[in-house]
Amino acid sequence: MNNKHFGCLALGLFILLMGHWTNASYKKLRLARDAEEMSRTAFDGAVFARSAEQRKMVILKNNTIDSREYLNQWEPYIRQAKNAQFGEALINLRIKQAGIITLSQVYETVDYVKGGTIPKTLNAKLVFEDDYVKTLNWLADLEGSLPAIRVSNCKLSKGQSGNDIKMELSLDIPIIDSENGKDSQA
Amino acid sequence: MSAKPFHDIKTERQDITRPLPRLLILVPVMFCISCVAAIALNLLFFFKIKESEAAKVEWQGKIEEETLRKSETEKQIGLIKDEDRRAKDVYDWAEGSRQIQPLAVGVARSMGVKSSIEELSLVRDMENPHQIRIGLDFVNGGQKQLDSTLSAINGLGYRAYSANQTSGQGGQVDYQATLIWQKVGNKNNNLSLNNNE
Repeated sequence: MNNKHFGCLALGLFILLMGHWTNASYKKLRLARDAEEMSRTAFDGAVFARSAEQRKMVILKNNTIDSREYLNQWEPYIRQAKNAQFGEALINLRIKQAGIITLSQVYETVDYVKGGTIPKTLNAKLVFEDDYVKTLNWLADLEGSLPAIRVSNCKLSKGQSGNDIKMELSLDIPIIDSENGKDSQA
Repeated sequence: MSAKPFHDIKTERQDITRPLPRLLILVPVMFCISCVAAIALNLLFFFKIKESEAAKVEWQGKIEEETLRKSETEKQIGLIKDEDRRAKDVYDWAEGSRQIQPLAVGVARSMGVKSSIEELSLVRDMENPHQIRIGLDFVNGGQKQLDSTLSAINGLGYRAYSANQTSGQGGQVDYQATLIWQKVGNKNNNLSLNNNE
């Protein structure tokens, strides 16, 4: 081998080196394109998942429209008594406004469903003795103005005089703490 | 001095090595072409790689956006489900809080002139608050009066079950039954659900 051969060999090696360099770059390009394609596929998957979730939401919204409307109508009444003190004051106010004779009244906060929409109730045990019409009108007014109130026990018997009746009532008023109840609505 | 040129003295120079085959002239040509092609192709690949990387970053940004929107939708679904659950709880409460006063008045008004209520008790069942246990103790009128009272109760939308009736001395009648609300309405019947009308 002489110098000319070495020169040729060197050039040949350079050619090979450049070929290798170009090939490596091409491989990098292919990898980059594959990664791009994978990202595009992942995007398609994400779009599909999001669309499926949105469809689910729309179906759920349509299926629950009645119950959510019902809740919207009822929630202000369920939240009428913000706490036990407020509920007690509310009942006392109604009694005072009607001027009905009250024999006794006992209030007690009772656990209803822990973690439920109505966690506690205010139980009021009231005993009245007054005119029949006045007493029953008062009860109607109470149930009408506080629709969420639950009369769990109502015992009516004759009063001591003429047209009087004795009414023993046990009322339950839902108590929803304002802080807990401030759930955002969909 | 002789005018004879000196260069003629120099003998013809022999090649040190033998010339390469003519075909190998292509090697430098190929080298030049390779240089140009390699530079051009690598530049092209470089820009294409950059383009793909930028596109990948863009797609990933879009994926994150979609994921965010999906999680927002899931949150909305959670809120809707929670509202639905609360609506059911409220419905159960409201169903068990139907006004009792019209029932008491209905029973009282059904009494004839001769009959008189000794005691009327309306107690909600703790487990099923939509069921009301009625206890009616009245004098005079007997079965006819009881039928009239039951008819008034039916008129209010209640039906009596598990009735138990005892008659005592002096025309006293003690009647006990469980009243169940019959007019099953739709959930979206708003506040009227709580009224007995």
